[in-house]
Amino acid sequence: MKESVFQTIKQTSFSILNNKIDSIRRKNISKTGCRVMENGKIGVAGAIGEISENELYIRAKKLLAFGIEYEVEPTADLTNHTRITKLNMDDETFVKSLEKILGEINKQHPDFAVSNRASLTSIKHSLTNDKNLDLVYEDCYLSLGLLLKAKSSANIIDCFYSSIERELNIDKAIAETCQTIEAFKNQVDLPTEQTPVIISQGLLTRLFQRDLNGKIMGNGASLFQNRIGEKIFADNFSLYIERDPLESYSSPFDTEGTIVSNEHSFLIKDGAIIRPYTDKRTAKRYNFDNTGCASGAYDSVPSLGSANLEIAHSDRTLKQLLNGRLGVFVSMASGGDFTPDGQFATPVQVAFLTDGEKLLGKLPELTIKGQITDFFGADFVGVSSNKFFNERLAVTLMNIERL
Amino acid sequence: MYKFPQHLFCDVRIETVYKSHIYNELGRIEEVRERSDKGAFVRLYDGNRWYYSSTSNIDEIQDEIDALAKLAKSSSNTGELKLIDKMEKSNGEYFSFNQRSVTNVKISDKIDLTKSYAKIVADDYQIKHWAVTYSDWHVVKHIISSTGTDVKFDNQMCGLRLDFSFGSGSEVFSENWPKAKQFYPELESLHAEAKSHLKKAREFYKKAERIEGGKYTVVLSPKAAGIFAHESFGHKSEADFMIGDETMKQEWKIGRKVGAEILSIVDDGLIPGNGFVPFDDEGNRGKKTHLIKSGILQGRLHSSITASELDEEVTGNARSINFEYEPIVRMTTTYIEPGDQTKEDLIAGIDHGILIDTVKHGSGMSTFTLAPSLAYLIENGKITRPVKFSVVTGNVMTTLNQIDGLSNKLEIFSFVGGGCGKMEQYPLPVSFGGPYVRVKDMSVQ
Repeated sequence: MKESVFQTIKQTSFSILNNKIDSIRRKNISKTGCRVMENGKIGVAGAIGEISENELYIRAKKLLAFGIEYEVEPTADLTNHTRITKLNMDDETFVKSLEKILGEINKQHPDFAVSNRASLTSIKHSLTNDKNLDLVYEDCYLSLGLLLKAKSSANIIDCFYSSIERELNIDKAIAETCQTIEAFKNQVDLPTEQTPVIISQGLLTRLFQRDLNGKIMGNGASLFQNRIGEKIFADNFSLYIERDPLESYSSPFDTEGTIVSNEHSFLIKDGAIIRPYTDKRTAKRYNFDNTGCASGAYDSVPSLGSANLEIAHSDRTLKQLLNGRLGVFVSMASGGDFTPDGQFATPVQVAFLTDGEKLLGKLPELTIKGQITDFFGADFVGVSSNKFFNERLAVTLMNIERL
Repeated sequence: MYKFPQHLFCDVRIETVYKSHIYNELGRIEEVRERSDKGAFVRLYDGNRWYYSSTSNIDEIQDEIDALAKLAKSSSNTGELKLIDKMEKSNGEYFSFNQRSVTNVKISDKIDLTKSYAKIVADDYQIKHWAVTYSDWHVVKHIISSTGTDVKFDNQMCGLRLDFSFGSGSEVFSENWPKAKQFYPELESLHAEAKSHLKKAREFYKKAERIEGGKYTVVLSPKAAGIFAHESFGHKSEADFMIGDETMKQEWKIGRKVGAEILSIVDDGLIPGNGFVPFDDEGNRGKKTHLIKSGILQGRLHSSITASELDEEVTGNARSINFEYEPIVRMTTTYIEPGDQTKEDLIAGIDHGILIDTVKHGSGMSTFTLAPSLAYLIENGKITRPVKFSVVTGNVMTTLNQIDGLSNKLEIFSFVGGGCGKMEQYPLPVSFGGPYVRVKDMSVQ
């Protein structure tokens, strides 16, 4: 059985230094992998650039001798071609758009310097095999990562604006970057009453990456061991694996060619843990559902990687979730972590006060703390239906202190 | 070799890379990967803007140069650019690994090595999950420039990482033992060290108790001190953030007092290990640079670009993670220089404090963080019991001034699995270290 992996990336990337495009980098890299599976074993070989498929096949076949167990069936009889090619922009148009964004930010806020990077990226991933597997994912997107620094500041970064989109909305990028800078300039105090925390989901779902990992749970080393089926979190807290390319900017299939059903993508439903995330081998070894989370490089044995976790969105906007209150929007929080028993703490380097629609001002440096069963339990408010600064954010109650 | 365009600066970096990777999980060999790739990065400068291209097709490098030249504006004065003056014109071949290259070690031997370390954890009933990872790389770089650099050199590392998890439920505890060396045989006899670390982790798992947050005097182990030096100060020594920024130039003026008098921090690209950079990715030789000496800002890290902008000398710190990226200013081996006390002396002076032994990760902007893995309470001058908490944090500049004790032995560490990240470029191999470092009034959460 032979399986072929093909990945290409074409990218033009612009580095930005002090509001100007400083360099242009072009990349055109192709990577090819070949997997050979025989008698429950697998061998994988790959190469960057031009390579004969036959040469890779011979190399992969030789690697079978190392006896890497792959006792699962390859995906068969499945065709899926997902081509998201909405973006039609050449490098020159992108440069002009970027210069317009940088020029306008500079005009409105000459006291701030903008730096970092903007990229125009096209990717193509395909996975095919002898058993009628034919999967293709093609996408093209723009990413903008602007580091914002007051010219009078002694910090390397004061705040930032980032987006990844399939069409460039120049006005939105300018408006949201300028709003960030304006809020940054307006120092406000932490409200005295209890204030909800508005935070990127990934910061708080990080613990699930370890403790809902199928291998960890299968070997009895999870914080949630023996708690499958138990309601641990709030009724309105559900967690699923996001595989929609429109949302995730990644392929709908994993590196084993699994396209997971909606039902099997949920790990937590209505507060109860229902399954860990897995690839084929993990699912088989520990008798779990396969949730399509195999990952790995073009020349790797497909293995359980991380899951692209998303909390099920509420039907309420951020403004509605706040319900008339103000919230602490955690914009930059680096260096925090969980203890093994689920206690989370992190310093918050940049936080803004918001009414759910606008940034109202910059808060002092903070620390936020909480226990996972509380901030996704009784204290959980919800995830907004709308994106706020390009993200659907979690709203919950946590302990907030000035640093 | 290449026809470089007139009136433009151009260089080419060709990388021939060998990598192997073995993953042994719970006694099953789950991954055996051996990769040999070749790629090139082309840079071109017209005096105003840089143009870069990366390609996996070595035969088309000249085409890439020509294509970039078409994008650039021809400059009549490129030859007079300060940037070119700053660059060292390195020539020759400098191979350190030849016969001792990891490319010469059989894959089956590398698999057997993981099996020998697996024995340490395999039959341990308290360990619920474990894995042994072996990885190595050997790279030959060839840098050729329009201004006369033509240098070829190699570099390599190999390493092991033992990951293990004790317990389950709320009692779960995960720890790892990572080690990287320049030569394969150095990995063959570290079993006792791995066992000793496992023993320490088991004690921690069985006995660690949560402590209340607050202000503590903290002793950082050499490993933790190295991460602190890297995250809290090293990144601020990278000169690219100062380009065109008058405030930063004033703030980071050489000669300014930035730390306690006993504090000296160094970046040295010539120390064997992950941070070994015989030549950087512009062909400049690796060097030792004092960032802080006796509490005073003494130097910073440069590429040719930043050195010319700030009119300082190159330091051999222009590095990229691979041929797909341009070199930017990065650290190599960053460490705090030792002092004159013993570890015991440092601890003896503390009534109520914490020793941080191993760290899961760290970060450093104006506020730094260290997330501990193994940590211990110090009571009445003695280490008494293991303790757990989420993170230790503080203002970088304040903390650098709160260092009040250094032990007398320097230890340098290299790991596999992870590395340093800066913007899009992750992971870059770096080393770090220091002595035991005592810091007053650190915030523990």
